[in-house]
Amino acid sequence: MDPVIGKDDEKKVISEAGRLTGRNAETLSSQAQLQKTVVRSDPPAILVTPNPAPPVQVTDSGAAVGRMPVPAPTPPADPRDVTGLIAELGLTEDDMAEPTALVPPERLREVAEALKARGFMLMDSVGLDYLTYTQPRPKRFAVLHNIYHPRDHRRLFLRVWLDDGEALDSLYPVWKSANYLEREVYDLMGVDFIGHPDMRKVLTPDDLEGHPLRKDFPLGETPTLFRDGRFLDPAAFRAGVTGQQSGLTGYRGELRRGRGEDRLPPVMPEGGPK
Amino acid sequence: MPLKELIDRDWQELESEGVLFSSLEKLVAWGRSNSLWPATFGLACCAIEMMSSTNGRNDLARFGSEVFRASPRQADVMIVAGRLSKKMAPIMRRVYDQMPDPKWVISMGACASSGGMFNNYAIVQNVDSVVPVDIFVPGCPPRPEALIYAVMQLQKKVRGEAFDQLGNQLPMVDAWTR
Amino acid sequence: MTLKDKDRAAVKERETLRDLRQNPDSGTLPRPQMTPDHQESTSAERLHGQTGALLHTEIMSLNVGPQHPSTHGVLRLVVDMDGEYVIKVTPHMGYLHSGFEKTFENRTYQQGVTYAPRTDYLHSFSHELSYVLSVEKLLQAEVPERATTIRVILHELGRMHSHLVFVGTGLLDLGALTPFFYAFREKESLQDLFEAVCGYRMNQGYFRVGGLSRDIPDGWPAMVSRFLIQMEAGVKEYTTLFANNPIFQDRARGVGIIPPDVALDLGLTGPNLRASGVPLDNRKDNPYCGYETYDFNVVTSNDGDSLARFNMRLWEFGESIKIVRQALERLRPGPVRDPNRKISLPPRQELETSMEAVIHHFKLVTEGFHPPIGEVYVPTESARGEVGYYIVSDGGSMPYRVKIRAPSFVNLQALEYACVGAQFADLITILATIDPVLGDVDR
Repeated sequence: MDPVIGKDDEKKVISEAGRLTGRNAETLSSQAQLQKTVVRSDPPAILVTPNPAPPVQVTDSGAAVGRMPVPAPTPPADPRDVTGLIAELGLTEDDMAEPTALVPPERLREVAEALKARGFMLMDSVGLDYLTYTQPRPKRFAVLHNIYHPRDHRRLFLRVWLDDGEALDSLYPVWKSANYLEREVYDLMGVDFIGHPDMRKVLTPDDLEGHPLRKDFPLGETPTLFRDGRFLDPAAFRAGVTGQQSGLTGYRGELRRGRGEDRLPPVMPEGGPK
Repeated sequence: MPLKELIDRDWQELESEGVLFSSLEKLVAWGRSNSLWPATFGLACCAIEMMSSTNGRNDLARFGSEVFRASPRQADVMIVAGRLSKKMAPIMRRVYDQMPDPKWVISMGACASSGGMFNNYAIVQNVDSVVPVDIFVPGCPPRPEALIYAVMQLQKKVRGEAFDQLGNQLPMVDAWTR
Repeated sequence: MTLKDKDRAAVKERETLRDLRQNPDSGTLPRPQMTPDHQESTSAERLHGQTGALLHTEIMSLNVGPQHPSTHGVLRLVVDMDGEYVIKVTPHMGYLHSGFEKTFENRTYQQGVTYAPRTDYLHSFSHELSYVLSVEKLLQAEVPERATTIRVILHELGRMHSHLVFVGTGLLDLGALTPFFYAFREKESLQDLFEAVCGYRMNQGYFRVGGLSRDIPDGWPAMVSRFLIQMEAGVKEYTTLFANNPIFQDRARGVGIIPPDVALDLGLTGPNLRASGVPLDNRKDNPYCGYETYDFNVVTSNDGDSLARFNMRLWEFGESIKIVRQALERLRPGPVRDPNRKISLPPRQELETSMEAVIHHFKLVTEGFHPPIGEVYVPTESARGEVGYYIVSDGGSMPYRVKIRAPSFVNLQALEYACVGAQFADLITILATIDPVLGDVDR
């Protein structure tokens, strides 16, 4: 489209619009009106409209050829979009792949009650430990509540950042389903919840010390003993891929994980391997 | 045939007439081997295949082992079917102790036999460290046919017809064990 | 007396009995007189835990499990009882805790496909599919049309497998042995189908990130259609033999009612929620694998009792059969894997001619692929409810964190609610119809 519209073109457009009837005519005339006003306010007349209408080709006889200028259809509002909801609750959106809202810990209960009043249900609670994450994170732990609306199918994740030893308000007074879910987060991740009626371990045995899903808890693999007395340590076998240490293979995945730049990968000595 | 005749006549002569001789121990072992009643100890996926082994197609009843008892006090053989977590291990030991002697254990599946794919903090790596295992069945989960084969092998062991890896005959269980 | 007369007499007798049951005072039979201090408690009283049982005995705690035939595995319940009535149920889980989520963090993405089906071993395709879909969303992988259709078929067949075990063992818990043999007859045929396509009866591990591990064998669709005919006859048998059985109905009707608002509050999903009248089904609401293009219904019931939860599974057989029939018609020849060499292994014959293929093969097998940094969640509908894998990637070849949204774990919370005021025998009914899989609960 030619961005420069002279007065002659403008006249043509308006005259075309006058002949048309129906919805197209209205939109066209309103667009022409818009263009006209912009032209008037800005005499150099360089227009960049958000929805540029295609130019109308006019033959000598004055009849319009080709498609009438229809404004590009605006996409229908996604009913599952939660950006409006997040703004309504006064929260900020996280830039994760899933629609996530960042909630300050002290506001969690209040936000949950507001969501419950809108008909949301609690699907899941996720505990996350960012101790060895490659990118910097505000705090070590995060608790995500997976909130879902059973009628209009909006899904929202509430993310709360926590440090080690910090406790979080329990959502049990709001949703009864938080009962087991928070017990699981407490058991496996070690996040304490205030106001939960029954904060006990749920999955691990009572004599297990520590919280297994923390990153500093070892996987607890046992080496395999072969008949001839050899050991195969599976942790060492896979260490290269995990990037924690070089392990048996000598390959260090930590370079790719963003750490250990000070150490160079093993290079072949001059003259080939000895 | 009067009893006097049984004592007087030669045993070879009697056998040719269809009278069989055996020790009472062997007779008891034969009876035991054909009525091995398992205690249900279904833990995970293998439990489903354990149930499948009793259905119409596989029919464990052909070997006298279809009577799965919920109470360990009525069972001879415990089929440990599935991954044994460290939380469950003491309970399994208690169930094993509640079974009357003589008793046998079949470790069904890779997880029960060696920890399988779960080499981590939660799973006991070998059931043999908790209870003495007689038969290990490989597979994840083993097919019902594999379980039936294991039961048949156990029957051999009960009858004293089994051998270890070095070729030594394994002893039959004493008939009068408590 | 002719046969017709006999029938008529039988119908009349049945009607009289039914009338008597509905209105005991109308009939000629004398109603058993109750002494004033021997009153049955009303259902309202029972729901509030105030059992009207007259012998207000000492409250006793009864331990059920973890090694008990009716607890679907290794669930342990501590039941506080007043006489025969349940006052409080405290489930103790974790006897099958296998450390799935920790193990996922130490395996490559493709190795994780082996672990996912072991969580819910009855509907193992649901976890497999959910895990694979999450990783594919992370990778932006393109799954070919044929692979998606086969996934839908197997997903629905797996749902039937789970419901068959539910019909068999659920009624076994109530003391009926026969359904077990009927249901496991169809289950064996179904497992033959699984075995034909992936070489294993359970815990298939057939899906791969970016497609399937291999194509289906020739003649498999015909096998599936033959099975569907068998399955339809089977469902009719279950309906007439078990679901319409008056003994079963007496034990299940009105037992363990969960109202819809409570069900949503407790986080129920799947058939248990739909039995309470909430039509929530991720196949319709958050479609994946092209479920929006299939024609099927979401069956619901308004009763919310154990009978409704049982019937929900029977009705879902029909819907699954419908979906599989449509998917079979859509099967067209084509690739079953994402052609992207960075995700899926090269074909075997290429390894002998192409050096690049060898390098790709080596990298994928030893190290695996590296998805971009991000966090994803894809909800899917299993036979038990919403399954989802929340996967956090840090750019490595192994997931940084995998959280399994296990439906059985959340559904089990309904037990504490629904059992209060019921009799102990009803507890077994309620537990059987909630249908938890302990591998899914404990993970």
